Amino acid sequence: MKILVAFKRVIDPDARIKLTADRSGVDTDSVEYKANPFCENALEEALQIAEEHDGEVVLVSAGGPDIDKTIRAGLALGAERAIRVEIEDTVLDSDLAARVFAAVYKEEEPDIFFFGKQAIDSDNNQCGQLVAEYLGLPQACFASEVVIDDDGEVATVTREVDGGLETIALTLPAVITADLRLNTPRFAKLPDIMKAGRKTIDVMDLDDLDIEDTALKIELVSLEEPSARQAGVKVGSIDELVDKLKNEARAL
Amino acid sequence: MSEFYADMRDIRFNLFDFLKLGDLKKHERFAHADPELISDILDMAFQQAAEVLYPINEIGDRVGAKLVDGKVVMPPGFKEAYKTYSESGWTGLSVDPEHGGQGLPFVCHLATQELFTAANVNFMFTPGLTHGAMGLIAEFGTADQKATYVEKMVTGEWAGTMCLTEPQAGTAVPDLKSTATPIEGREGFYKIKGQKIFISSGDHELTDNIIHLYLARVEGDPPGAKGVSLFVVPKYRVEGGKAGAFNDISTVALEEKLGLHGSATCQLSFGDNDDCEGWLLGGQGNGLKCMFKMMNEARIAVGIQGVGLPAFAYEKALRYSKERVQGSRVSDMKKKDADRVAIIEHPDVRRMLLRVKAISQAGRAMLYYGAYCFDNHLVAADEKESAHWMHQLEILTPIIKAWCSDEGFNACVEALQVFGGYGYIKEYGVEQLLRDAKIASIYEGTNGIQAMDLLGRKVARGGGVMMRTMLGEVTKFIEGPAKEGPLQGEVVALGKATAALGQVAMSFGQTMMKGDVDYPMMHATGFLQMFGDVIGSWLLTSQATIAQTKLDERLSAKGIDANDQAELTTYLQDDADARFWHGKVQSARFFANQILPRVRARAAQVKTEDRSALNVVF
Repeated sequence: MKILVAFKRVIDPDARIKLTADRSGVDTDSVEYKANPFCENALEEALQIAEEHDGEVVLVSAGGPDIDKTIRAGLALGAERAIRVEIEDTVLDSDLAARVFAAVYKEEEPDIFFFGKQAIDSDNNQCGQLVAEYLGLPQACFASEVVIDDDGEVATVTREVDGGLETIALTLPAVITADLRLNTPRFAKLPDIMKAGRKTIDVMDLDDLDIEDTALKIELVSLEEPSARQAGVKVGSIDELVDKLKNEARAL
Repeated sequence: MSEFYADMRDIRFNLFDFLKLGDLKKHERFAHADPELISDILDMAFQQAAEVLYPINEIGDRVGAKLVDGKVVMPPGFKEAYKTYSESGWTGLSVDPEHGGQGLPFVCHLATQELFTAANVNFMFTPGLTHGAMGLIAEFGTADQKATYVEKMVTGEWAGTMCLTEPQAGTAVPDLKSTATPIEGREGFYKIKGQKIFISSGDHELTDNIIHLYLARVEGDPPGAKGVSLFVVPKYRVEGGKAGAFNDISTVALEEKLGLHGSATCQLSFGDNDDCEGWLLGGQGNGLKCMFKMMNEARIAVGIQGVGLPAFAYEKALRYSKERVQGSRVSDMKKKDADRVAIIEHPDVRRMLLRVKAISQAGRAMLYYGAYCFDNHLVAADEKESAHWMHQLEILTPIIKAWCSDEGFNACVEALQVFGGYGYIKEYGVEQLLRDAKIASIYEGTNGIQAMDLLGRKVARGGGVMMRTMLGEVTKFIEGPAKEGPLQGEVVALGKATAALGQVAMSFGQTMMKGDVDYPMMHATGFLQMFGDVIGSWLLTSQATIAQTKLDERLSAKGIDANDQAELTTYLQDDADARFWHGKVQSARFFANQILPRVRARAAQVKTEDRSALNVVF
């Protein structure tokens, strides 16, 4: 069984970020990157399935050579090899990323294509769905449990939906996107970190993948920093609080 | 409650920008030690420190290790964390691949250990002692002994301890009463009998077996140091590669301590039923020689505690001082309705913070430099080069142990002070760091013993070659290009302090030649502190010259005027790299101007020839 995992890096969520002067993006001088947490869940699930079904896990990511650090972290966790599609990651939108991943799918022909349900930087939650559409594959998004049958033909996926859980069966190959509660990602082991540096990262570009439509469908107009938090006020009594909630905040 | 923080930038700066670890790659032994790889390993170590070890730090302190029905029960979560830690392979980071390790430089091992120690020093006793005990068997063991124990200890499947101290034999180890009686027909095996106290991780349920390294006297051997031998004494005898029959070792009691509640400090009784077997290690009568090898490593490890704990206390104090609003700016005191400000705006708080930071960074620089000397000695081209590095490490060992643990503890005191009353209560966890840090000046040879080792042995040995080599490195810097650079004032101060240190050493030599050992020894602790201050200032100022260059490049690329303090301050708030480099320079300046002057004050103390402490009748 072959499992492909889309693995994206995001700016360290704990870091303080700043916009560039022209507000076209985030100033990336001296920011640190980490793997997108949902992608870590996707990889963990892929590794568990591969261990159980004697499979191979392949990472795929899109960006310049500086994303190799994040890719190596994924390889250290147990993926066998990786594919990096050379593209400036600042000029990607969900649609182009999905076209890239769909093209890689055609090269690799995996049984399962795992994604994180969304990346925590732009929070689009589109990539997995678009890839399934472009490839005409069944999809199960927001997975909190995945069970693969003994023959490796059917995935039974529990999805976290509004108001409860939905369990569906998919015929493989399929696209599955991971939610946080799917699993607890493992820690890399030191010998595996050592080995990760020797694993292959194949680099492809858009021409190699015959991607014709490279147009961005989304135009970034501008970015705004969140407004600073206003100072609070102390109220003298419960009556005053209720009054303010009712008449000023209109929360009641 | 709170989170784990560490100055990863400073750790990386030490390894890659200052020590230039990448250069070790040219040696076959370290050809695999890519800076990129090491950086990935540091990230992983930080993640485990933060996510595996720190979450069980507070509970380790509050619940503590307990003795239940004669068995030690470790605090909740320790067993699971030990499993993750061991499976991750941390113990083997710098261990020879022949023994199942990764063979990376020792300095990388120390960097990861600093993170783990800061996150949970209590937890680190078991893996730390296992590493030390394993190292001794790997070095002095027979092929059989190595095959039996080493790999299982590298993987953490079995733990290790060091059993030295007895009630009447603490610092004076050769006064021990433990005995070993040859077992007829089984060469190398002995019946062991005796009591040991203060045995860290002496018993626990984290592993299937615990391998004690035990000092005892073989029946009939002479009293004193020459009659002491070392034995491998497992909790369970090894049968077919597995833990088998119980080896008659019982836990009599657990110590109640000031700190380190999550570390099981045991009183152990060996051979109560005359059924405890030990296996001689390293030859009869060689016990202390072997143990010294381990003690040197353990002394460096104590230095890690003297760096990791204050470094984390600093991170906590820094965050608190930015949140805690009290009073208005001193310069606004007379203004009516002046703005209330966070305490980090107050000059006295800033002084405390920078002091804790400078001490932690100086300790780290010293610790890593010592380990780097060890790595370089391993790959030295010839004996002369090897000696050049080992002389430095040997003289630095007592300094790393004692300077880092004394100054590190004092830095924890100062970090707690930043919190005011909130530091004295448990909520912020800084009081735990202070309590846990205190032991470092006491065990593995008290700091008084370290000072005597420095002054009595290291300074004098080989006609003073160690001190000459070490201060030769310092002098190279003082007389190099830095004396013309932006830190020239600090370089001059370092030069004066180094000269004062040399003069004191010389005067002690003369006094001792006249047969007066007491006077120099009364000042041994002060002498060690002087030496540590010089080394700390040397390393911080060297680092600052590198940081200043990097800062200047960044500022000029961004068009920032470094002389406009307001513009610079605003810029630094948003550029973490530049803020770090700028901070390195401030640490070095603070150290040279606010701490280093102690050296000359101490030299003046020595000059007084005041003998009151020797003459007083108590």
